[in-house]
Amino acid sequence: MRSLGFIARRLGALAVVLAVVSVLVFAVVQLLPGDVATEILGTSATPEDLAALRLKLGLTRPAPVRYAEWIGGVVRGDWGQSLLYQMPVRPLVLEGLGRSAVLAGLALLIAVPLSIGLGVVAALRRDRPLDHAISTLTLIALSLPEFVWGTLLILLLAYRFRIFPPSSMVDPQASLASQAARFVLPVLTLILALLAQMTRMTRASMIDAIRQPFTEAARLRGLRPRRVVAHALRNALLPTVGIVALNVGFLLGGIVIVETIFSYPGLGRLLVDSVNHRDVPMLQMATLVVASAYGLANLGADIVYAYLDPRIRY
Amino acid sequence: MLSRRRLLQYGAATAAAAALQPVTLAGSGAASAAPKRGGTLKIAWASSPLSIDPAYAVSGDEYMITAAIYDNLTRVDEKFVVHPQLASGWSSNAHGDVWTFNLRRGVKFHHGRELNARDVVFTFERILDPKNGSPARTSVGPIDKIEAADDYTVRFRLSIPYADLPISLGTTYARILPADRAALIKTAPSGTGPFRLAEFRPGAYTRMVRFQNYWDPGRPYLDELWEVNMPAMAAQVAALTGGSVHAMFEVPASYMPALQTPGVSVVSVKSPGFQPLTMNNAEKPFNDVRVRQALKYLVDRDALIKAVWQGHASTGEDHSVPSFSPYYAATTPTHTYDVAKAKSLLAEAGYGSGLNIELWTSNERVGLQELAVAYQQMAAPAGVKIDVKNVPWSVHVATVYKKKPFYANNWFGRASIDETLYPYFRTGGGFNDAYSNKDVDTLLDTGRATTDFKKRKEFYARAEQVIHVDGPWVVPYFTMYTAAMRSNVKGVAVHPLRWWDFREAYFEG
Repeated sequence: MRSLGFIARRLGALAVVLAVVSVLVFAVVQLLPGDVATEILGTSATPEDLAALRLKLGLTRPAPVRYAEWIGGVVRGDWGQSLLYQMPVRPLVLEGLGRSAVLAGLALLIAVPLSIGLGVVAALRRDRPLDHAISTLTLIALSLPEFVWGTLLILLLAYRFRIFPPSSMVDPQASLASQAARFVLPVLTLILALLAQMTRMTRASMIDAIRQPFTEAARLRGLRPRRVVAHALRNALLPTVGIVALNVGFLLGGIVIVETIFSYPGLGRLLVDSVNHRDVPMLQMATLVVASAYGLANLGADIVYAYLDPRIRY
Repeated sequence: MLSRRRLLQYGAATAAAAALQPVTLAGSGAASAAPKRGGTLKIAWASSPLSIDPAYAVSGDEYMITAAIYDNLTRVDEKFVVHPQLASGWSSNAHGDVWTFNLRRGVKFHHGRELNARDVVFTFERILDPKNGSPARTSVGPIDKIEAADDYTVRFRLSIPYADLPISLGTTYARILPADRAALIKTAPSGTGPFRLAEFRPGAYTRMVRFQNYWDPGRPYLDELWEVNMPAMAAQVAALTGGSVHAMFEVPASYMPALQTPGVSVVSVKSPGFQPLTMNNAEKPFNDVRVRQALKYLVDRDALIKAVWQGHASTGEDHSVPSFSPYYAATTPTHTYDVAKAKSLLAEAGYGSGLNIELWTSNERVGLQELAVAYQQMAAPAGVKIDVKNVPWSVHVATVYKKKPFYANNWFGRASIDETLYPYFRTGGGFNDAYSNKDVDTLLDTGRATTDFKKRKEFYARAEQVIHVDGPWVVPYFTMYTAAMRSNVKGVAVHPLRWWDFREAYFEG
């Protein structure tokens, strides 16, 4: 089947991209001042202590050797040892990925239908008060960065009114109900960041679709208004699907800020920690995982495109 | 032999001098009511612990965890007084270079085995082996050799006489490890401490549970102790006021008003931490003592304390000994803000037409950037044009510290007087850029070998005076350490070195 061949080709391209990403990340980390030994030992280190620790951590060998060893291990399924946590990288990254996926998944699950709905309503009520209200609200949501929204929500809903807990630290002993409450503020912050772009894209392409001759024709043939909207929507969704795919990438890497504000131990937090502490094995795996997720999301978007628009054949 | 009695007298002198220090005890009501058993205490930290191996642990959150899992031979309290912990007593020879420590009997590790002298030997040999690259190697005292005299006696042979050994053995690095579990220290630690490690999840939390067979009967009082990682201060404040955590490791001055609510206690103590402007006196223009003095006269210390720390700091005298130290002595002349004096000193040194210098600092340590910018303004009227260079902390550590001729730095301070002065000002000291003064060297060498408190104090007072006038540092202030707790948390003393100990902690009511 042609579409299967297409998916295989795209997966191959993804592998090439990931290989390039791994080399780039490795190279960039080498350029940063300081290394994991100066990070661990801090200002109180003597040159002898630094040399001993570098030798112990294997940092004295040439960079290409260390890179080759690491990438060989990754291919075999051994993701290496985190230099800082002194633990295997794999469970740490996979656990972080799982947690981030839950957070991002919840946000997408709510934000996608909500913003499509808002976009359709805005398009149908174009230039009327409801349309203006939706535009204004989503623009306000977009205009404030996540760290402002996150802090505002904590101050308002956790500190002042104590409705929701301020931290989404995962607690194995807490009940499921209280765990659910912990997700409210971070997910809400993410939704606010996602809403505007998707709503406005849906609105614009919906207005465009309503104007198209096929919509006019459907209406003239006497289809019920709801069928007409559904008809137009299928055509209007194409650009929105692209935006959703982009947002998956944003969510997996960019929820760094939200995870930090709400003390959520996901992949974003791991990335920040590993950059700050020159933990090369961890940093590279976390980056590779984010890059893979981004690539897979775009692949998924292409498949959905093909489903929505039968004319698209690769 | 220095008898136990003499040693206790020395300890008492230290204690008497240190008692003047205004330390607020959070658990001041502890004596009146009997501590209650049970409860789970959670303390919030902005950072995440990375290593729970005491020989490599370098941050406050890690210290708290290793203090709960392990014991030291000695305990250094919040007044810097030394108490027995795993050691029941100690003594030294008259020369002060051979120290004998007697171990408590019947102490159990979490994995069931009884503590003996071989565990102590293992612990220190592990730290001192250069192959292990532990930052503790130069911080546990000048130990040359350690040996087990019998199952319950260890002997430290030192390379030089060293009076501060009992304090050094109480530091965070020197937790006693089990000799039979060398490979498990990083992953499945077992100590003799009051809590066992139950879960270690970097970036989320560390959970510790009560050790039933702790050697100190009845302790600890808590069932569980949690270190919780919360990077955002706003989240910490909301969690503490809401009661989902019970303590905050550190409260920045700007968050103090938000914690003035019923049920929360904010506790501030003077700390030995300081932020010096460090001059490399091997390089021009800092090689001229008149330039160094001029720069010391260009600090408006009171204004800095108000502007940078909202009043939460105490005046520094251009050396590293804080006013609450038993070894502190007032220095002369007082370096008050004096532009005219600075100008004349600069003119004498040949910089009458002005001086252009770079000052390196970092925006990633509270107060450092503000300090540099404020100093830039204070120095300008004397014709000293300062170019402030701001870098992230990791860059500061790698390319600024000990490499640039003039930079702001951040130190937390140490418990013993030797470690407070020697590494910074002794020729060749570990944290010394280039300072070398024969008088200071002699005073510091004699001081560390002297066990008599009065004589010692005299040596250190003289060293402070020389460094005050001649030294390479502007020390504008000593910082304060502020933490916060739920008011019903008792039995926790806020330690000037930011060490948290939950052995005596309990919930009231």
